[in-house]
This record gives sequence, structure tokens and C-alpha cells, in this order.
Amino acid sequence: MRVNRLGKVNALLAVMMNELKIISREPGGLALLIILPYFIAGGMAFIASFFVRVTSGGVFIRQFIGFEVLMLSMIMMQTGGARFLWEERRGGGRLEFLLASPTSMYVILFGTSLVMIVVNIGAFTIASLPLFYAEYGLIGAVRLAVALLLLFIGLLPLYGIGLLIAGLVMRLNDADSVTNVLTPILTILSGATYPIYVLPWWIRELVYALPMYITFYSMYLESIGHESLTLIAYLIAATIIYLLLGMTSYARLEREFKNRGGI
Amino acid sequence: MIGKTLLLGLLHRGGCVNDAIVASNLRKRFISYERIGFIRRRKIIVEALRGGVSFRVRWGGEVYGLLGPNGAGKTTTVKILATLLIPDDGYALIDGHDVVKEANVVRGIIGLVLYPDKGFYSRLSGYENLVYFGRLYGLSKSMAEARARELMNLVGLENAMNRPYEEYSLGMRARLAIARALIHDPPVLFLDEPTIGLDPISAREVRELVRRLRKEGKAILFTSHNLWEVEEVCDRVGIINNGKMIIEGPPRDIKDMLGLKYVIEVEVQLNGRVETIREETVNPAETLRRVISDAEARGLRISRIRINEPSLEEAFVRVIGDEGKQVR
Repeated sequence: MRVNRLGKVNALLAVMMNELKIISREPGGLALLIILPYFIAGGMAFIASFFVRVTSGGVFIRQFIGFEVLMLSMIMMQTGGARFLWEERRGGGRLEFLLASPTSMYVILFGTSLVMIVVNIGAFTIASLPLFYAEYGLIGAVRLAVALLLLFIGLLPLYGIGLLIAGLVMRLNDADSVTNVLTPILTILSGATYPIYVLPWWIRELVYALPMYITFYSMYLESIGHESLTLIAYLIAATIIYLLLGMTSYARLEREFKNRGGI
Repeated sequence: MIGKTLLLGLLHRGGCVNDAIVASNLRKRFISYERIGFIRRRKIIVEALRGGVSFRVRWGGEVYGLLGPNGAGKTTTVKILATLLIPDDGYALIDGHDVVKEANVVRGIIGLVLYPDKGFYSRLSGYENLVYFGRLYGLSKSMAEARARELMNLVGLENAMNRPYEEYSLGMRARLAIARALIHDPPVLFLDEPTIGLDPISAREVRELVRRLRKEGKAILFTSHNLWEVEEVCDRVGIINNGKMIIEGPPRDIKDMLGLKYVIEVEVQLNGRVETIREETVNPAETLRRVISDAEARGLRISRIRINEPSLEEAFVRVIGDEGKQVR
């Protein structure tokens, strides 16, 4: 049978469409996905504003960005690799059929994550546009567009971390336990919801090594009109490093499972 | 080993060897862990294919049946051939392509049914599932849609095209699983127990479908627990047990090789009474001739002759029960 010449792009689009269909068929799935980050991030930022001195809309925006980045990071890391592979194997027995197709698992995993990224960035846009406009006027909308681009770049290394977590989940044969342990650790290490100078220096180094804080901070700087090329370069480097790490880890995992027979 | 598989691959592609599937001396063992205390675990080695499994399936519509009890190594063999497992030893070629070194080429030419009722997205319709998998096999959206419609008709699911998969019965799921295996029109099919758990009517429909695919010239590897089903569908059969091939050949040859006995029953009438002469034999023609001539010599009138052929089930029971005795 004649195959499509744009094989990988065709498969990527198919994966994305499929993922969107699956989310939209879950009871209230799409609505929940879009509304949840808005309510939780907004709600947490609002509650946090009672504990810190919110002297301006800018401070509230900073908190809002922080909680939003944290929320989206968790969604990305959990759904990007670990939970997807787990559900495909345990939930539906589909993993064998995905692996037996000529489409690379990277395309399938990336397509799935890309849907989450696009949906989440859409949700973030809806949530933050009124805030940015109210605080900074029309220029705020432009800054938001650049901040969204930074968010997109910042979510890509999280896909790589998601692949690393997937290795743990598949080896330990449990998704819930792994994510239950990792979520609070990564929440603390995100540095996106509190001032990181309160941390000991060695934890601070860990915070800098992960992409969440830099994503949050570069977005915040952009929102107040102080873009930092160093941070953008850092994000791009982190994207490359974490993606490579994640892909290498996944390749080893797949090979190991084909040898060991865990699929 | 590399040289050997390469050479065999070249011979296949050059048309010198007419085999769709070649499995040669496949061996596989798994490492598993057994809990022996609160924390402590003990490593156990499961020899899934220990004796080396070898067989060939020819082009031109051959259906090869792989038979064996639970845990014999049938699914492990299928998974190796489908590139889902890497063998510890031996090699396998699909249309001359090595399943380990050329896994991506192999994936494009095989269709796989592993479980008849798993592996689909439950909230999507059968049609949507097929279109998705078609696109993963490189079909464009329009081609995948056309092919999915064609296959839904072929497997008799045209009236359930837009129903969610979760509402399908087991029989419908099994037929959809075969449709998915055919989505990219592969020349080689692996059907691992495609009728397991199906009611007799659904199972018959699946067998009918397999016969149609054989007529189309597809090479099919078929595994089943249902022995008469294998006998009905398969041209050649291999019986494996404890991870090794015990005996292989056309069902009739296997029965002959094992020396299974035919049962000849001849009903005769003597003074108005009906009596049955019953003989077990490995040579039915000669025995029947003798029984008939004896009856005629005694002036008996023959009213009915019945010859019960040994079934593959008997062969299977004999081989499995006699494990360790190499018949080939």
C-alpha cells in the first residue's frame, strides 16, 4: 500500500488529533483541562496574596505566572511520558501495537505532549490576557505573546524530564507511587512559587538545574519589560540537554524491555 | 551470525528462497523476581524458548499453526517475529528482513493480532481507531479513511462504524483487531489466538476471514488452543512445548508420524441382529479391505462403514504427554 511521503508529520498530526479526540471524549475532559490550570493557579495566587504584600498588579502577575508554570510543569511531566506509557501498557494494552507500528515512539510521545502544551498555553493565554492588559495595557498583550513563546520553550525540556520519569515508572511498575513522590519534590524544586533565596545553596543549585524556575523567571521578566537573553539561551540549552537525556533514557528503556520482556 | 542472516536476507530478497517467515533456532529467557519476604526478592529465570524454535512459512497463502499449551512459548515467538522482543539466540526473517536489525522495515510488512479484545481506544469508534492506526502505518488521512471503511465492510462491522469501541461485543472486537492488522495491507499476518473467548459463531466468522486472507495469498502465522480449529484452517502445524518445537508438518503427516490409530467401525447384520466390528489401525485401507472380505466370507451383510480419523487433538495430547521424546 502506498504510504504518505510526509510520514513523520502525518503521524505527528494523527497522534495530536487522536489525543485531542480522547481528551474531548472524557466526560468534561477538555473543559477540565482548560479550566483547571486557570482556577488552581489563579486561586493559589489569590490565596498567596493574603500572605505577601501585594503592592501592585505586577506582584500578583508574578505569583500567577509562578503557579501557572508549576501547574503546567506537573501536567507536562506526568502526562508527557510516564502516565502515557503506563496507560498505554496497563490501561489499554495498546503499547505493543504502538511499538509494532513503523512510527517512532518519540513521534507518538511528542505528539501527545504537544497537545498538552498547546491546550495548556491556550488556557494560560485565556487566563492571563485580562491580567496583562489591565496591568500594562496594549504593550502587555505583546509581552504576553513573547512570554508564551518562552513558556513553550520552557515546557519542551519538561517533556525530556517526563521521559526520564517514564523510565522510573516502567521499571518500578507503578505510576501513582512514582508521581506521588516526585510531585512534591519537584514542586519544592520548581522555585516558581516562593523566593528561592530562602533555600540552602545546594537546593538552590538544584532549582537552577531544573527548567521550571528559569521558565517562570524569564516569563516574569518579560512581563515587566526586562527580557533576558541569558535566560532564553539557558532555556534553549536546557531544552536540548533534557530532550537528549530523555530520549537516550527512553531508547535504553525500550531496548531493555525488549530484552527483558516487560512490554 | 551477522553474516549468516545477511546472506539469508539477500537470498530472500533475490527471490532465491520462497519463505515469508523464517524462524531459526529462536531462544529467549526472561528474568523475573519472586518475593520471598517483606523486602527480599529472589531472581528467577523463565526459559520461554529454551530448545530453539525453528519453522518457515511460505509465500502464496500458507497458514502455519503454532500449537502448544499455556506457557509453551507461542506468544513469545510471535512477539519476537513482531519486533517486540529481541531473541537471546537465533534469528528471524520476515520477507528476508532481520527482525532485530531491520525492525522498522519488518513493522511495515506485518500485521499483528495479539489480543482480540485489547489495544484500542475505548472512547473512540472502531472506525476512528482504524484510521488512527492506519496513519501510524504511514497512510495519508484520506487513504486511511478509505481503507478503514473498506475493512469495516470486510469484517462485517459497517453498521457499527461510529459506535464507541467500549460498546463492541467480544466478537466485534476480535474482528476489529483483524481489521487493524490489515489496515496497511501487509503481506504477512500474525494472529495470536484470534478466536480466544469468542462464541462459536464469532469464531467461525474469524476462521472464514482467515480463509479469505489465505486466498488473497497472505502468509499467516496462526496460534490457537483450539486444535480442530488449527486443523481446519492451517496448512502446516508446529507443536511447541516448554519452549521447544516438538513436531512439525501438515496435520495429516503429524498424525502419521505419531502412528495415531484410525478407528474402523463396520456394522453387519447377522440373523436380523445388528453387530458392530470395531478395529483400531494405523493402516485404514488395508484393515478395511480385510474386515470387509472377512465379513463377506462369513456371509454377513454390511449395513454401514464408519472410519474415524485421528484428530490433531490426539496428536497434541500424545506429543505433550510424551514430552522429551523427540519425534522428528
